[in-house]
Amino acid sequence: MAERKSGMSSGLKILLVVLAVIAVFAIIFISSYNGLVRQEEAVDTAYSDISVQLQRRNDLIPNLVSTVQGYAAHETQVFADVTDARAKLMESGSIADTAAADQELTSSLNRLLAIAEAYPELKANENFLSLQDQLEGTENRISTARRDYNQVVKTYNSKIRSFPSNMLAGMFGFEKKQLFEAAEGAEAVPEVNF
Amino acid sequence: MNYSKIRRYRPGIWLLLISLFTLSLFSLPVSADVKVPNPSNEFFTNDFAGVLGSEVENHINQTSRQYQTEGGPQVVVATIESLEGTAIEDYSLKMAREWGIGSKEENNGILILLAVRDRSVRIEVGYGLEGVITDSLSGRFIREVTPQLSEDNYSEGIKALYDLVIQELEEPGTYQETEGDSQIGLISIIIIIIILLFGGFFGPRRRSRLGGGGYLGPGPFYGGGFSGGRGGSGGSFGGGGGSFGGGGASGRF
Repeated sequence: MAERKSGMSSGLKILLVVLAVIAVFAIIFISSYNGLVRQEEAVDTAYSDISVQLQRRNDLIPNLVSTVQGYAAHETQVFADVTDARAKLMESGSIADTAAADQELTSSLNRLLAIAEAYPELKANENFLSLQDQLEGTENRISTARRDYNQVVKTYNSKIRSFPSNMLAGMFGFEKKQLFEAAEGAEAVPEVNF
Repeated sequence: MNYSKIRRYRPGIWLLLISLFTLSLFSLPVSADVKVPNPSNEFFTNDFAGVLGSEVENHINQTSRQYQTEGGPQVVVATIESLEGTAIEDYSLKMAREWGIGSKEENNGILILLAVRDRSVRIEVGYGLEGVITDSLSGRFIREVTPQLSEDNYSEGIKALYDLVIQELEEPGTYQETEGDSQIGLISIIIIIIILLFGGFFGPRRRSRLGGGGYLGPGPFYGGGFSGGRGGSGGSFGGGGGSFGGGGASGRF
């Protein structure tokens, strides 16, 4: 009787140990999985912040271009550049393409604003100044959103490569996310002039 | 017999596992840009450059303190000697986020930053106020005080800038009405007449900004995960963890 009792209790102990180990792994598993989901969501949110700001800038451009055109109609090259870059940005698919198009648009917009320096009347126009403020504010928001996005992507990417979440990432298909930056060489778009 | 051995080591192993796991959770990357000073005890005025007169400081402290007690936005003024090579946009964003200006729920913080040696000034607007203090309004406010600032009248210039912001927060749209430029002013007058003719009426918080389409205030629905830090430190004043996304405007003088 005493033998049986001790046998039962040691069997129970094994069971408890096994259960405890399973429980620990389950807890690690679940919280690590949830952490991955949360961070993937943070990446998506950060990306949509960029998109919102890119869209906001795209909405500003027609107004800005037509205002500048009113004073400097003959600067056709810059207007064409801005319009092209804007169209390219709207069509871009991948993150690297979007980042490259964003860069191109920013630089052509800077050229557009630089033109304004040569037209004192334009520079004094309250409507232009307001659009310029909005554009600069939006550019600033874009760069903020871009930095925030890259930050969460870096955190996420290092997480899916580190133990123990790397095992889960492999199992559940959490993939490496792209940083918001132009692919190498993409920003140097060759300018062809015949 | 073997289990007793396991049991002896088990707490150690568990501790190790758990601490490894916790460590892996907290190993967040640290951003290594410029170092922003801690806010002063007053919190609302941070005159690191020493250019504000004491009556201006008192005015700002009193107004902002009362504002916050009433649950309003948190408007903070900071002056610094130098940006240390950083862009003012980056510096002020970092400062506003680190100090956690504005409440976490409403993201209603505003930071007015003056960098004396760089001769730049910026209004940094929290997410929740981007619809009230728009970029173009911030730009106009800054242009309005630029003459004072460029004559090194920092104290007066900053007070004027602060009052413009406060005025706009108290009655959104007032600046537009007094200062309305030809086109936008005309359009809004026509619209007002039409609306009045058809018997409509405005709510107290009309937004009269009509220029530059697609730009009516993003509400606090943004509120991503970038809250600025410390929670409400009971009793005294401090940041409430408001979020900033780079709204506002900067200017040079």
